[in-house]
Amino acid sequence: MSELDTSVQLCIFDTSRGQSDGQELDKILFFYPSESPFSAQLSLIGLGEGIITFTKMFSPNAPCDIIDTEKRSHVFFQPEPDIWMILVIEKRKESGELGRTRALQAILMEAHGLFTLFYGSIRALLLNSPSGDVARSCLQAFLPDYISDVMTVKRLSMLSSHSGLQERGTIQMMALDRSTALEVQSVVDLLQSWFGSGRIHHTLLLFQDLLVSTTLPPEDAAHLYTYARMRLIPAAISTSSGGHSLKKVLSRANSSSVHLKASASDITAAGQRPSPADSSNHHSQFFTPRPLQHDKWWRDNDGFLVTDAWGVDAQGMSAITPTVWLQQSSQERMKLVAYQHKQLTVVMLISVMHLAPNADGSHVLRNQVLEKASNKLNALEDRLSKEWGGINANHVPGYRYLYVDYDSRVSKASPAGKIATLTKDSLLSLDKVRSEIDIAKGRCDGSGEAQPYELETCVRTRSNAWVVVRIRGNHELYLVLERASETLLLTAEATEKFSRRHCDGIFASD
Amino acid sequence: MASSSSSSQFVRRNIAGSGALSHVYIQYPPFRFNVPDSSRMIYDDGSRSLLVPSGNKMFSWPVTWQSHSDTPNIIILENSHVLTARFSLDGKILAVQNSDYEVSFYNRESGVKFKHPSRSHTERILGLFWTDCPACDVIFVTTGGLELFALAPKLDAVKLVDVKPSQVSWYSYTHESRLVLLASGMQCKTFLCYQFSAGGIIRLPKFDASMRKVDETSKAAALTPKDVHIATMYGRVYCLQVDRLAMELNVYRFYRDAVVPQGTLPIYSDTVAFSVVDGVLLVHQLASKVVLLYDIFADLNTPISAPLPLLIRRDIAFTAVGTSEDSDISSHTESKKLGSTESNIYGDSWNFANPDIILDQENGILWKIHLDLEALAASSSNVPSLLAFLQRRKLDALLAKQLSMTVLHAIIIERRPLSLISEAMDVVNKSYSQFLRTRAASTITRQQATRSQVSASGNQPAHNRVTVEKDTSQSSITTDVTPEASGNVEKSLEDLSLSEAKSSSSVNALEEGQEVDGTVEDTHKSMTSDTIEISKNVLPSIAQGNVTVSAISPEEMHFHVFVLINDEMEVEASFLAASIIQYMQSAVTEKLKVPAEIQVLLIDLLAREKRYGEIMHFVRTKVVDPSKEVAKQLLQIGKSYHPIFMLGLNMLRQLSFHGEYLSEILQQGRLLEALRYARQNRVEAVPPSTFLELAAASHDRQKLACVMRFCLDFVPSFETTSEYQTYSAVLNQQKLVLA
Repeated sequence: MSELDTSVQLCIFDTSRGQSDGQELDKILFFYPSESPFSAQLSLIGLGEGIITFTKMFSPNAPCDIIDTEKRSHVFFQPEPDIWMILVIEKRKESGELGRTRALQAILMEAHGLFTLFYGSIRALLLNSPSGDVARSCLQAFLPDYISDVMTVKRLSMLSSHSGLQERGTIQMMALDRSTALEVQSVVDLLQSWFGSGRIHHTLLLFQDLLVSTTLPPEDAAHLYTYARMRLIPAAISTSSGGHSLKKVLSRANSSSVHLKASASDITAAGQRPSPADSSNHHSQFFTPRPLQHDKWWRDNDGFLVTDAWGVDAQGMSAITPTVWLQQSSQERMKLVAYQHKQLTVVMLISVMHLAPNADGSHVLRNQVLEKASNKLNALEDRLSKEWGGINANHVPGYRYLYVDYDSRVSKASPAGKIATLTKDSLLSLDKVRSEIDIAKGRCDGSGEAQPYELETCVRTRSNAWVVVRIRGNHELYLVLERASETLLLTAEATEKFSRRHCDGIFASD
Repeated sequence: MASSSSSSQFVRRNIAGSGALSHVYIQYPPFRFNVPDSSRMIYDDGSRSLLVPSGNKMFSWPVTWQSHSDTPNIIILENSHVLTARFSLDGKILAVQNSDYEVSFYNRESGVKFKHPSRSHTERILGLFWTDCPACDVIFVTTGGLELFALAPKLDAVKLVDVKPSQVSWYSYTHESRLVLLASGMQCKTFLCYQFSAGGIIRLPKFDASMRKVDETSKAAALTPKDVHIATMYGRVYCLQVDRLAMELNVYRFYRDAVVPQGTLPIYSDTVAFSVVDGVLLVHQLASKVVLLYDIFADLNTPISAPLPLLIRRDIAFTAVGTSEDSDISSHTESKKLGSTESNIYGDSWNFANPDIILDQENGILWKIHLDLEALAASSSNVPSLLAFLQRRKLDALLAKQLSMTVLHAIIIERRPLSLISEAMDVVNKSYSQFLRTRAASTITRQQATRSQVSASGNQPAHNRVTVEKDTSQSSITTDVTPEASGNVEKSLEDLSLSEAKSSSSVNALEEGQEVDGTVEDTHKSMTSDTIEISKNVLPSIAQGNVTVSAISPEEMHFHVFVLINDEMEVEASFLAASIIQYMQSAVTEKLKVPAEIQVLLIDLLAREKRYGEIMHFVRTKVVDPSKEVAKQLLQIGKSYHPIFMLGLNMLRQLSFHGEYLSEILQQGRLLEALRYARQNRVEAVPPSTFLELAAASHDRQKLACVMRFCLDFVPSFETTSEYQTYSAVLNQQKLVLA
């Protein structure tokens, strides 16, 4: 064996492909590390498929979550029918347990969510290009960047140790005063109206890494928010902004994208996907965008964010405006334009359908925004930064908490700095409790009961901390109270108090 | 028009106007009289009456516009030579200036007559006016200054109280401003002003009219009384002075201790005349026979309308409103006669009396000028300033309100830019919150007045007498002084305006609806009744006791703008929703409460486009206030999107609408949870039978047993009820079935 690092492996395969003997390789859509020998790839997929088929006999709807062995964990996730993702993580002695299965699955879910945001669903790619080349090149362009961001063993173990009070794939909202919220909404409406009705379909407004407002439905909002946090917010964009000349853009594009070029014919097939405007956009035919490539976004002098991750136009004069696919709302392709003023980031989505062929609406939008909206946006940034409570704004003294609303994909939690003050024992206990609850919830989901799932748990840990869980339907509250002296009664009271003050009393027990 | 408005309060109006031929009109029929040998008409703005001397008789009519009594009051004069005449403010005494040196007084009630000759023969009497100033009753303006007289207790003589000596070439006085302007100097361009109000006498600093020197050699002509006009607009007092050479109009504003130039307006005619209608300045360009309108709160430099002529409106339906007179209209001779008067518009025989009266001396006709708000609304293209203008209307507040709402309706239907809608909403909400503030202030004042009145009118024991009187005097001071004194004290430039002027301009619509108490100070009463007279005619609804203001409340906004648009379905839901957001935003900025109906409508509009995420966001950030109505709407929408249902349910629970909450969860079959909730929150509104029925209907023996147990434990004397009998039987039966 070569020195190939197999501490993290990720594979994606389609069980509906390669049914006949000798065609097994066709199942594989993506494998990381890509240098792995086919035999290793095939054996992993063979194992996975076998387990899936076997467990399906007992639980047709949710076949298999994880294979836990002494050395490795295989985490399963089925993002689309017949499409499976398997994440293999090598266990290390020093890092101990890897944490909750759900937390690891959430990573896969997020990866898939972001992928569909930029390329559409894997199934759609496969349908449009039955050979699978387009899907493979897209996955290849996207996932390695994502893996380098999150999926090293070191990071994974670090993530998991704190993940008890974090929920991947949810949105953190900025707490707003009523009148500020109205002002935000008013500015958003004005912004949309200035660009002619219906042209800006959706907006997403962030202050630092917190969401202020969005018109997107929860799921799309969560995906776009995750992307914005990763690449668009002031802390994430390339600091070497300044005067990025187009030439620089051009040279960057040429140098970094060569190895990603897929055969032209395949991509043309991709171009025939639902949107007719797609074919008008010639450049995408030669270029598979790498949305997660590092240091690819920077702020122009006029406040707009630009990237060459989607390539440059035929003349090499300007970068191509990124496009995204909305899954939940309209299944439509949208151009993404982002504007930034200090800590405020505005992501605007323009429907490709509404643009004239060959027209890049972003230029018109840019002028409009600069002309009319910039004052309003600047004033809004002022107001928000005055209202922002600092990084510990969400801190509630005495509590370490996580509140998740899966309906709107919003979560609210103690600041990371405060979570870090918890003892390892408390975190481990929480993790265990959460794992148990995950399983219980999974069973409940399968039972198809109409009534909302409700749960209340109070666990005393070895170090005399309390771990409290309350679930009301799609709202979940996790609390860690490290006050050893407190009785169960006092803990229940403290939970009620928290629920009343910070969760609109959703978790009241009556 | 006004008749339709009285039938249904909010008829939607078409902003068509009268073909926009004019923005200002005089209403036919005018007030006309038939007095043989009458030489001229005198309009007394103090008593609001028309005086016509003829021979040795003085005919007088109150100008109320409500009922033109054909029978005039007649007072027999001793001297048929009449220079000017004025009634006292209570209308009892008529003062007639017979010559430069003599004034006669006639008491209408007692018939007492007396004369008062000038103090010296060197000083000519220029004129006289009555005042409500506490120090004196009538003031003569002479070439030597002002002479202040008080009436003797028996009203049979006047006594000189004070003299304010100064050189006077001519003077100008309006009762509305209580301000007398004395012109002196070679060119008569030095002005000295006094204000004689119920609050006392204020002497204003002297000031010079500015006359631009067009050319070094030419000497400007002396100013004449026609060149200077005292105008009261929105309760503020202004001086308008014409500079004929420069063809300019200089505007000054009077403050208590200063006179501040406000700018100049161009004039386009050698001769101009002024009227003020509802705070709007009308500059009649007599030579070109057009009128320009200016609004001091808008940009003074640009007129609010294009120059258009004055129009005679012959709308019979309108004239019939609130008046009992029809004889004028029916007579054909009258309308024929009008033919000649019509061509006489801006004729030489027209006199412009303060503030909005025109006297046609030749034809014996009195016109009143009106603004054609519809025409103005139709011709204005700047929506926010149009709305601001309409919101400032006090005289025709109902019409202004309807027009405002029509404008708001139109801009949303026409999908005008959202930023424009946002500005319009700001104007409307600002105006409404200002109205609320003024109302709050006036309520306090009225309460004070009532309090003092109550204590004064009751049968007080003798030892309380002193304090009572003290109380009354205090309150009379407050009623007169508070509006101008409060808040203005710290300002160096104190607003020169009267309590009456201010209250009539800002709250008059409000006060008119109220009964004016007899015990409130006399002057105050007469002032208020002044305003009643005009507006009763214009706004019939006020006479019925409806308080009408141009400000639009959030409720009206909902019913007459948003709901209408929603029903018409002409504009897509998203645009209406965006407009409502703009409205709510400006309302919240003005600290107005947005009614739940508007919020329900907003949620409904969003739900129509399936923007559930935004609804949840709005509820979470409290953009939408939690309320029962909102919660119900959420539950309704929640039928197609479950998370919203949960949101509504939780809102009900948070607002402690226990009954509604219980019935919702019972509908979901969450029986035991409902029991727990009922016990926890001590809900007694839901009878035990409801739970028992549901439990029995579920055919779940365990459930029924549970509910029975619960009732036995927590419902007092449950064993004695018939339900206990019934359901224990059911329970036993089910047991048997199982066995």
